[in-house]
Amino acid sequence: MSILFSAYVPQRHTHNHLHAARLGPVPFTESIMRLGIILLGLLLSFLAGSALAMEASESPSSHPLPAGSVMPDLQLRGELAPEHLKHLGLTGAEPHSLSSIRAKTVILVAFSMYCPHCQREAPVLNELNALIESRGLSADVKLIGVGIGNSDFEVQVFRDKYAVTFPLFSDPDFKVNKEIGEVGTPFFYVLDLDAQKKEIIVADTLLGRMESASSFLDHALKASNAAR
Amino acid sequence: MSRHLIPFLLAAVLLCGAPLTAMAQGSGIPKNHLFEVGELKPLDSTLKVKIGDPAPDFSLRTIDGGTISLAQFRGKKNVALSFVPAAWTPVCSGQWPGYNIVQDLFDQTDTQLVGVSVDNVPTLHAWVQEMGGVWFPVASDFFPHGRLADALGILRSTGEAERSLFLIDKQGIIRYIDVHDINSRPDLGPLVKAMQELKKAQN
Repeated sequence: MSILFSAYVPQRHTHNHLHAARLGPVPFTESIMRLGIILLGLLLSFLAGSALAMEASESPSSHPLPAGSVMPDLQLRGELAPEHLKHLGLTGAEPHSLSSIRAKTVILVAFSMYCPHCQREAPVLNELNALIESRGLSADVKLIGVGIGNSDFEVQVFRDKYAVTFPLFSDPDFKVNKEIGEVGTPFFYVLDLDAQKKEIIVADTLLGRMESASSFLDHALKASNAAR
Repeated sequence: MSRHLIPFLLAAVLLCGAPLTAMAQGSGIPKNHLFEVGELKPLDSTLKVKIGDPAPDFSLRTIDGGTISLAQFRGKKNVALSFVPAAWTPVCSGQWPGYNIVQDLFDQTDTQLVGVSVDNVPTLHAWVQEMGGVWFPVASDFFPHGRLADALGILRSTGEAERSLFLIDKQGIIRYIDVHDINSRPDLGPLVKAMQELKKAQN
């Protein structure tokens, strides 16, 4: 949609430019047409705006941590498969602290099984995880999900329904969500884990569905490198 | 003239179609379309039924233009009633879309899910459409206002129903009740567990 829309804009300018370059009065039918085009443009930008705004379940009290700020060391809980615990380098009992995840970059997605945008995003998240693996990044870059307001049961529903390939934690009482700024869903935090300073830095954020897994990953890696 | 017009018409058709498609796919509800209710008194009614009681029969209009009654499921299906307080409010709008991905859990346990609110049919219809639609029937307990909700004892003093779940077996007996804090969404887990136990007991 956005491609079509942006492709349209230069076309409109070109035609306006041609008209403007012409000397003398503009014929009546053409001015009507021009007005029509302008109205169409306005209508389209309105529709495009509302369509894009719909790609997230917004939160009225949202105040995400901005890029560059320090992310608290979140306490994560959930029923994780042994291979997922191993993948993240986590041992021992819950809760697991975010800082104990063995990674340089953590991509945290706040989701909910109740959020239709997250339901639609699930295959893209699996794609993102596959991309991390196929690019040989899985030792350094870990994708995790936190089910905002979701019980273990509800997280399991989401895991089963979409055959989710990456570790999902649950946040039934919104404790994690309070720490990350009561964000809407899906919300992405790209986090840089600095082993020396023992600090977790927010490298980048995104509310709503990503454009594509590969462009998101490229962007995330760039932001994470810049934060270092 | 017509030569000039064709590209514009084409562009108009293409471009008007494109955002509409995108809207149909991105079918959540934007924040500014919802009414912020703020924090409400968690419960504002006194339950009139208990587990083991026969459920009051009902006949309610549904958003597909039909009616639904408890009697039609007698001997055939268990019935799960999901009451939400009001259309176009944030917590309610974030509840039924979750049930959209668990139809199999209802089917496996011979359970018919029915969504209910005291809003009128056109309002419920518009709201459910904007949520992107749901697979289960949505019924209106609008007139006489909240009759079913009142019979169950979940009609609040302000006229909305409590956010609540009732599981009724094939004989019309209430097997599970969760009258929830109106401000938060009930965990799906306990309802599904009750549905599975009921199904097991019926085998």
